[in-house]
Amino acid sequence: MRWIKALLLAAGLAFAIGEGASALATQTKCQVEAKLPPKGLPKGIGPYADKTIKLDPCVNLDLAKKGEKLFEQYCSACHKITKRYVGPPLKGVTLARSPEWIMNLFLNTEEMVWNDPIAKALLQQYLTVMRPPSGVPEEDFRAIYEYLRYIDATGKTEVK
Amino acid sequence: MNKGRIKVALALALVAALAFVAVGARKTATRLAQDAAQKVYVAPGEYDEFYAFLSGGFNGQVGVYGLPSGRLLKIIGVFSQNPRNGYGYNPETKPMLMTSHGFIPWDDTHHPELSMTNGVPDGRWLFINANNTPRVARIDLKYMETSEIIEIPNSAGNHPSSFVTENTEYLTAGTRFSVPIPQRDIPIDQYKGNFKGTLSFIKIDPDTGKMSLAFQILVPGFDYDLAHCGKGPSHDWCFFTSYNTEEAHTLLEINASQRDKDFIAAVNWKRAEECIKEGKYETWNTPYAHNWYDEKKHMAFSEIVKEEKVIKPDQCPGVVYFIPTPKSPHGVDVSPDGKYILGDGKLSATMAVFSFDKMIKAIKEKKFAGDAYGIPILDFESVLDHYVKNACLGPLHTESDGKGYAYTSCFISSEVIKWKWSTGEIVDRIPVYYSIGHLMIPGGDSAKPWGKYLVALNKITKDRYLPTGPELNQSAQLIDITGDKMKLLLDFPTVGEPHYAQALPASLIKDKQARIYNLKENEHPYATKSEKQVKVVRKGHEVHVYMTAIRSHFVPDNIEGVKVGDTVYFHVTNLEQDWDIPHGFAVFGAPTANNLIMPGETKTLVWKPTKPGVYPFYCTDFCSALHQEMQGYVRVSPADANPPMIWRGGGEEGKWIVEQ
Repeated sequence: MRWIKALLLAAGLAFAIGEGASALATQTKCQVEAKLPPKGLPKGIGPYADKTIKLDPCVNLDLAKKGEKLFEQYCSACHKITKRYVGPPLKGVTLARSPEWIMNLFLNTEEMVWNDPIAKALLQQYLTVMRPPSGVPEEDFRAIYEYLRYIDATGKTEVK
Repeated sequence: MNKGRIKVALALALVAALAFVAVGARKTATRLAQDAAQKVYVAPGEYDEFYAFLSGGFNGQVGVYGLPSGRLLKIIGVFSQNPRNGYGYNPETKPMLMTSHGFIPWDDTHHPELSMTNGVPDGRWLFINANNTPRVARIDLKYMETSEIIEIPNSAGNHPSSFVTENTEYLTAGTRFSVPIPQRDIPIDQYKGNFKGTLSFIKIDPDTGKMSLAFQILVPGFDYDLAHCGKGPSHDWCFFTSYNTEEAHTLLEINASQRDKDFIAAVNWKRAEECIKEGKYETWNTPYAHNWYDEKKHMAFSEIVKEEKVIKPDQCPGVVYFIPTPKSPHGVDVSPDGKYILGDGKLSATMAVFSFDKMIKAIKEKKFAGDAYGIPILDFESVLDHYVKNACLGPLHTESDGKGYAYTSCFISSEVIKWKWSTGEIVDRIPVYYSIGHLMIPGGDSAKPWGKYLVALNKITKDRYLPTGPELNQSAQLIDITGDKMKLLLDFPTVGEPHYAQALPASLIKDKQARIYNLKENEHPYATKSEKQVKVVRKGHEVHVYMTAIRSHFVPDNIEGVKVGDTVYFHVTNLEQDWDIPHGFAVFGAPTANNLIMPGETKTLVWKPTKPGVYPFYCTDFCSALHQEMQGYVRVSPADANPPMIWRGGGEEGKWIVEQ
């Protein structure tokens, strides 16, 4: 158990460092400027409950491109961008929820849908338990998040 | 006190005493039952200590049970079609059931055997034989599905199979029903001398488990019944029992029970390897099927092989000897240390324990008592170590507990006896219900048995459970063998006749179980890995539907453009990537079974519609709250119609792709 915690901590640190580095590099000008969620949104339950994800003001296009492919593979059978499907439409999700909440939903789905008030309400509305694929590395979920950020920044679903 | 009163008082006292005894007995029985119940109780959410693999007999499958609870965990389709998941019905797995006689949807499984390393089950594969149309199967213990089946040519009634050598170098097969070899048209009463058997050795690739027929030894036309291979000092040898050394061809019940002794065939497989190297064999060309399942392509393949190496014992001296053994033996069993060999003579109450060292000495000193068709018969007294006297009626099969004791099943007297390997001294007996065949101790035929439980695999069930009409399931019984006295713990029914079984500690394989098929690694040629890739393709009269399933919809779920005369292939990929979210697929009127499709897997249902109309299809496995909504329609138009070729689903609409 201790090494799992250590791993999570390491992953969290790498996350933060990555964010910081890219923020420095692109301080001057963004190719795509991100829209940031309001502060103080709930963080949910899970490995990011007590952490803060520093979001880069620019969308990382390489990461979003990777996320686009992963989204098709892992998410598109249940989620559309503008329409209700098996699950809710995802346009605007990165503005309505904190990044920590979304990462917690990816990484701690079972607990989130039964105990987090927002996820619980969504389950009552959509009646299907979200099942992200098992064994997917955290950075793949981070890429999917970046793709959703791209959509909310540009209104487009294809990363160019 | 007058005499009358005394009589009454005495009578009352007697009644009271009897009542006391009765209550006492009942209390003891209740306490024993509670004791047993605690030993087999696996609390909700807890796991069993052992996986047990029981042959399904005439059901052609393998049942996976948990011990000590006796709970049925899974049925694995092996030689029989499995309507539960479509095994043997869909084009992906039909090749598994191909033989040189064509497609056969059934067989009779008898003897499962776990792969071994250093004589101990290693949890990699489970092998099992088919008795009727001779075959051997390999089951992968990561997926618990059948991975490979190989047919045995030049044989019939593949009964002394599938037993492995100490490091799974080889797997045995053999002929229970001797036949003209090679097969030809001759009168049955010319059996003697014309009918033959073969003892076959299948090579197992140590890395992949892949099976290939290494060699067959041509032997006299007896009935070769069971086998076990040596360990430790006897590592190079395998032993096969035989009955009907009389070579009877009719009324075997009487005609094959004439002699006091039949034979154990002792085969030196190392010697056979030498003979193969030295070219002392014949190449024969009886065709046989070899089928295997490709886990990445999600598809089975079948090929016909037409070459086998046949060793004739007179051309390879030293490859096989006969040990006379009392009478019509069934099992042949080797002690964990590999020093003793036992023939369980089912028509003799006395069992003969042979010494491996004495056998080698007798061979060296040529202590022969004649020969059978040129194969030396060893002198019985020279090989005998000791007897198990007045053992029981109908001894069939023996396993070990690793503490020096052997346990023999006795069919006629319906009991298990416990005795000492080294002396033959019987130390305990326990009745079983009814008519036990084989018995099984986890690792009980290996070098290191886990001697905690014994499972009696009974042939006759009668009144053990609530009656279910004339046909009853078979009955197994779990016995505690940790103490001096054997204790009956539990009855549990088994599906099909569990001739033999194997078990190993759950901890050896539990954490290696596959949970999904990785969608990324799915190389099925008709896989559809996302809803974006969905399409319908017409190639002449073939229609290929590249379909996806996820909770809770199919894409496409409307298909129009199919005509009578078309063959429709529904290639359904389950896009889920989480454990235990299968989807099922069935089409109204399709004369086949449903497909149960695991996460990340692709399976195909083939349908040739015969009548115009609109046919629903649906998910057969309750997958979510909206499972009932997981349905669709395929429209079938007359052969000469010209319907639009379109599909709908996932909120999209598409046109078919027409090739050619």
